[in-house]
Amino acid sequence: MSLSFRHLVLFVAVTAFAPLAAGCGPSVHAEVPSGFAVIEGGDDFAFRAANADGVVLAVRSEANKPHGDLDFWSQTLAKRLATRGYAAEGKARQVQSREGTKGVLRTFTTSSGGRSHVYWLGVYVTGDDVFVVEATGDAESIDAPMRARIESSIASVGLAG
Amino acid sequence: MPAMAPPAEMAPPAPAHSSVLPSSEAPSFQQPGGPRSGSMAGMKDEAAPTAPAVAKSAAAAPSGGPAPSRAPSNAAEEAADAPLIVYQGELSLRVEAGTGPGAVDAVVALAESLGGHLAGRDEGRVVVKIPSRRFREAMSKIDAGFEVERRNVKAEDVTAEFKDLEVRLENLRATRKRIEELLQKSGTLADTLSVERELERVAGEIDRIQGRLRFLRTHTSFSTLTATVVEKPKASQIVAALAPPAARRDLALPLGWLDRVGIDTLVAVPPED
Repeated sequence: MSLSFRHLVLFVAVTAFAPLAAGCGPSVHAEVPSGFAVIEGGDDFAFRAANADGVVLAVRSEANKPHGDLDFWSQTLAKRLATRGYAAEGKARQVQSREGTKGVLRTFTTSSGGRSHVYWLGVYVTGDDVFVVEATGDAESIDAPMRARIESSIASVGLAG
Repeated sequence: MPAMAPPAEMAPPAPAHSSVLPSSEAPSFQQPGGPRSGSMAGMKDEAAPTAPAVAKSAAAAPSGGPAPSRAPSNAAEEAADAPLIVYQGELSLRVEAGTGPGAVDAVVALAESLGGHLAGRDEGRVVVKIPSRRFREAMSKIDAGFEVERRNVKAEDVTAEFKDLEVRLENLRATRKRIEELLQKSGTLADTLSVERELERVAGEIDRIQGRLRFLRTHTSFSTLTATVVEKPKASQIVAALAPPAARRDLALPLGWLDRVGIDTLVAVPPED
């Protein structure tokens, strides 16, 4: 396993693995990358995994209520994060899940525990559900190839209603 | 506010000239009524002791000879013993309406004048890196030139960790050398593979420690200062004949999960059942 992979910020890649879903609600297809372990998602996440360096990736699904479109939910979440000190990096990008569901991916930087972190927010909206894909890692551990892999993985998440 | 290690040397304030001060469209560093005399007085008092210190050393020198210079080894020892501190500063600045971008430019210019650089910028928010030895000076100058609404400084002492890592690195290098010598002597294929595996493990540990040391060096050499610039609302004329406009009411979405999106929840350890 390459050193850079060990520092990899978690990503979600679509595979034929069994869905890792919470007790109810839509399922999420996710592959656990090498060096990562699935951890308890608690009440918030349908899926969460982390590696030894504390890099975390998770997916949550929420009801699309009030009923909104992708622009509504992605901008609502982005504005909420901005009020909490998350600084947007670049512009939002259009992404697409494996099933063809359109999504929006944003990148932020913020401080957590006195250290700079990079934070990814991917939002997908189906008719009844809002899927939020989050990933974060210490900025020191994130290089350009790592970013590309993370974003590629978030953009290829498998969603199932 | 956590205690801050005093800088080894208080650098004199940067001279005010066009390459440092903002452009004409940017807000002046002068507050109405003049600069904040408290901060400036504090800076002057801290700078003053250098004059009598120089006089004392000149007086102590033997007559007819130059004042004794500081031994280089003492300076190097002091530098090596100096604590390693990671400083993170956050400021919220209030500026007049329409002068927000200029204020951000001024913060960047200040950082660059102190040997720092821009690290990130968004509308109304800027992150700069400043040499740690001048961090306090930067905070003082911003305090003197802006209306600071909120100030937060964190200082994390990583000296012990740094020294521990250096010792571990030295030991691991010695171990690697011994393993490489063993590899030369190993006979069977099984022995060779075993030694190579151990060598790879040690090499990986060395890489990890070197990476952490590089990170600590970078972050103790340069401190991070985040300034959020908030513009004051424009003054408006009050027309007595008209009723004041109704206050804006934004729809507050009653969705608790919106506030749980973010790093804190993402990395939170779930409670044990």
